[in-house]
Amino acid sequence: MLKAQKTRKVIGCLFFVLIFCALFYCVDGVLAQKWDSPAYQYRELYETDLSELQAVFLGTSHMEMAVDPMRMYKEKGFLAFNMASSCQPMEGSYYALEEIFRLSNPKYVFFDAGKLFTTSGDAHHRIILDNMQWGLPKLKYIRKWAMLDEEKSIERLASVFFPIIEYHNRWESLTEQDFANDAGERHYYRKGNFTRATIGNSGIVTAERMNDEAEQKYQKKTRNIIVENGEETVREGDGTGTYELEMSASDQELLVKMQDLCKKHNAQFVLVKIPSVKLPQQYYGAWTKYRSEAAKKLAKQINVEYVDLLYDYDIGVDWETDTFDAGIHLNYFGAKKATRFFEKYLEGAGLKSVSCAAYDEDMDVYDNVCREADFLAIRNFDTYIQTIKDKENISILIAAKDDMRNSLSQEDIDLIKKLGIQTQIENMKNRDAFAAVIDNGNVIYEEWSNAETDHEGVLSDGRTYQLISSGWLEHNNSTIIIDGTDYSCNQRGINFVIYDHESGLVIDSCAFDTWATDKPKATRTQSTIDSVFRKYETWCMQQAYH
Amino acid sequence: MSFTGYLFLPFVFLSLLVYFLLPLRIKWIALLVFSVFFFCTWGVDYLPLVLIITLIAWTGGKMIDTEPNKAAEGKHAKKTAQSEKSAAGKKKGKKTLLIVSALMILIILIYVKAQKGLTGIPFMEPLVGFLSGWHEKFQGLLAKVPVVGDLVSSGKGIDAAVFKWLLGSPKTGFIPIIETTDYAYLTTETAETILDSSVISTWIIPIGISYYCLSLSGYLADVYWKKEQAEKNYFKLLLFTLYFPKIVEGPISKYRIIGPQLTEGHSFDYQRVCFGLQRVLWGFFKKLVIADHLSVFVNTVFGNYESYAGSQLLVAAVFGAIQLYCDFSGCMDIALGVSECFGITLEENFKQPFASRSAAEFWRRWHITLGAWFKDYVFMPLAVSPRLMKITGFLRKKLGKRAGKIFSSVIPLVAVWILTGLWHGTGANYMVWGAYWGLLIILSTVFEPEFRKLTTWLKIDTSSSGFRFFQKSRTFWLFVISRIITIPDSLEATWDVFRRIFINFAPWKLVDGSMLKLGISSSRFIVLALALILVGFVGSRHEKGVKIREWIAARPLPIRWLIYYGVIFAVLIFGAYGPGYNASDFVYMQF
Repeated sequence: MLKAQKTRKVIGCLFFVLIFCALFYCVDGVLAQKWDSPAYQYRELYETDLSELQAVFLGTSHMEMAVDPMRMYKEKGFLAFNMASSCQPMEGSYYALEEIFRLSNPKYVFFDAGKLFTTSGDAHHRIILDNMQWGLPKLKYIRKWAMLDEEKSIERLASVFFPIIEYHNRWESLTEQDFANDAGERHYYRKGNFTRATIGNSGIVTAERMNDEAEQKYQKKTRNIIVENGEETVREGDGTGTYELEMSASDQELLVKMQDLCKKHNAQFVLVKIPSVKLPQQYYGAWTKYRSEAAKKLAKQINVEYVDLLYDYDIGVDWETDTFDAGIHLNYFGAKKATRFFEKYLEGAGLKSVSCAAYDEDMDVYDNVCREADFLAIRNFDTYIQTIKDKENISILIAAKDDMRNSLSQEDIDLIKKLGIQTQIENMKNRDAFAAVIDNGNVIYEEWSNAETDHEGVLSDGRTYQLISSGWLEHNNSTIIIDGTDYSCNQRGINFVIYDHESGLVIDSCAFDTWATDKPKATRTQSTIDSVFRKYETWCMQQAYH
Repeated sequence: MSFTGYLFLPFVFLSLLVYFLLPLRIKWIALLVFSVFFFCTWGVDYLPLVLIITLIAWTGGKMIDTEPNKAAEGKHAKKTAQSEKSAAGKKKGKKTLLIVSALMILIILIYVKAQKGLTGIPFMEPLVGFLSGWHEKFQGLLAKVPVVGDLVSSGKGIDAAVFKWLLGSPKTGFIPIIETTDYAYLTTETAETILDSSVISTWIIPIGISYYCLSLSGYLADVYWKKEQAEKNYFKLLLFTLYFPKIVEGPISKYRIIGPQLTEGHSFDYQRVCFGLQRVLWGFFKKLVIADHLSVFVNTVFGNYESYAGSQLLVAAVFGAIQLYCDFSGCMDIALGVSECFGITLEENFKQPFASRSAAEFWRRWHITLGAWFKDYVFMPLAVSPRLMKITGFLRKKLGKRAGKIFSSVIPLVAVWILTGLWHGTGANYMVWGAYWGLLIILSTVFEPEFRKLTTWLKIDTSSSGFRFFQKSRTFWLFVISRIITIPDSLEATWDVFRRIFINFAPWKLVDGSMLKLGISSSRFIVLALALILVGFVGSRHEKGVKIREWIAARPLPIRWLIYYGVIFAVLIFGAYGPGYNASDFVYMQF
């Protein structure tokens, strides 16, 4: 009896612990931070056969955004993988490299020098640690990270094994995605590269101005002139500003360790700098001449090749169009240029093209997404009209605002008419309203009026739409609603919304200011581009992988 | 190693495992080893101090207890006048021994707490010099011991050393290193950083010293009064001093209650361990889910009290009162729960203090063992001392019965509250705090007949629930006021806080959204409110005599487990721990 009771208690305890573990696992999973792009990156790393990997890219988000391995493979047949991540700590780079060498044997390792002057936070370590597979490099990295701050070592160690320690406060900000997170499960196709098709050029500065201001910032001495009761006192400080000029000793040594690791695996280690221009007072990572020279000196000292794409090589970056955040990170278009530089570099190094089934399988998705990104980049009116005319299986919805006629040339009008528009645009008056729908090449509605137009209809795939157009003298409005959502940019001139029947998504929304200039350029909001691009990318992946 | 540290629970489980695996007669040795280890996690260099304090108590106790006990005395009933004289001399000698031993312990306590505050007093100079010299010498000696030396110089605990040994060194770390070189330069750098910060300029108060010094002084007095026999085994007394569940914040135990339990050894008891763990869990709930979140609010407001309206300060003071209760009683739940797992029943320190109807009752329900200690070793000896009784008798004759009665209780009360204030801290705030509670209790004792007359005259039914509620609320607000005295770091700040509450109350600040910018979000407020309702509910059940753990144990298994999982995950999800929270030490740890 006593024995039976004991057995019952032991079984009861075991069940209690088992249920606890199951609940803990679920709660831990829900509360854990969901890292989208790093999760994709590591997922791809582990599911792709990288036995013939030729080049690896490491470093911060500058590198992550700048190098597109799929483009390298498509254009030159080089097999590369981008392992860079946001503010990647040197320790993270080192152990990510160890992980790469555990899985493969690349011939070239490119590391972005920007990290040598900046610091990283715990989250930047966690981005890597939370996504790296369990193995010796990860264990060593955990130990290293834990001991970086002895006060926090136990907490850090515990939080890696039990993420709830780190993330339990997320209960206040949980979203639906946290309960159905599959970022780590979904297949991605960019091989570690993360890109944005948006263009951000507001407040862009030249490298010269950046260096001028950096000079002032790190040479600045504080000088306070205080007048009290008529007496003037001058106080001068000997401070050198807040701009970091020195590389940390530990980072430098880790760089040497990375070089040693590469040597051990017969790989060439190259220190590079992805171009970036931003004022030092606005951005701690501003790549000034001073930093460049320091990196160059260090590279020489440790006998590593140094490639500075801002000061030493011109890869043709157009600062007006090639970054998404006013000079800090290259966007899709800037990445094309940087990637092509590395293609040439590897070509010059005598690398031969290889084939990889995993890269081939992802090429369709990659091409589709690139096409969409290129489409979103079109700014010329004539190119745009020609492109949408040639696109198949789309609906073009047009609604003018304010005035669309003033600066339209006959050439432009003829172009618009090529879409099938019958309206005598040349006869339109200033500030007239105009709206039209071209569904799969057929004009199903067009209206020109000196008052506001308001029309509702149904597209060929059953989607409902509503168009409202009014000139300056009326409500001065452009509304293009599809299935209840207004996609119009609502800008002066002609507003376009392009709806793709195959994906069921809006693939562009832009406006041409045809009142102000006879060569109008498309304007798109950053959020629209981001939203349209991500949705289309997700759809492409869903089509290909599910 | 804090009770809320990551290593505490693994440490408890390991010690329980070892304790229950060992034979009964040597279980206490395991407890002593674990207790010494636990103590050393707070710093190795404090250990000699506690060894010496225990040695004083042990030696003093043994010397006092040389006289045959009373039973033995009976056999030799015939006493000559000479033997009586000799006994009186012995008694006087024992009294001197008691005073000397207790004084030595108390002087060390005062020295440690006031640190160098005693150096100005001429006759204290030699003692202070001796203690400081001894401390420095010992540190010098310890510094020469390989691992311990690092610990002393770093000021870190033994757990940090073990952890560093496991992870920190590439050569000894448990994770194998495959590359030929590793980060020796970083290890050196870190070691240098530690050495830089190693100059221990101030003597940090050793953990639990206020608690075990009182316990050991009480032990000496009990031996003197023959309430218990002196412990013959030094290490058993050392276990009583260092027993790890009670070392952090007490309770201030009596040796005759805890000593035998510690040394007799206990076998594994499923129900007892379950109950113990439940109590530990409840302690974590009060500490991590309530106290540490409230402390964010309290510290934000009182840390910069000039920026806040009176209404916000008042709310912060109320939160401060609840925080202190949940913090201290939470710690006690953990201590008593862990001890219960070992089969050792520590004294209760709390009995629903917010259900008290008067200040005196409050102190019989709040930090019970401290109140009991002062009652047993200060109040009672003073109240029954021949000198006081003589004065009381004189006053009774001259000024009447009431005056004599008042005098007999007021003098010991004044002494108790001066000492209670001093025990909590030597700052002016604590002096005022002691005087505040002392005055409240003394005035309520002195004017008790008048208060009774007043309630009769006002025709107030003192047995009604409404009046009881009024009394409980009044006691709570008296406690809130006492928190306003001690939370700010100076008396000026305390005065300013009171001033702001009265002249800049600005009640709209409570509803204009600014309360949500003080470290607690709206959703966190909801969680706190629910947690407080739960704590209040459990308290009210206890007050009605319901033993909540037994009540839960009587429920069907699914309900039981639902409750357990609910509390465990409430702590895990809503608890204030991990990055973003500085591990909040228990408030009463500083004493």
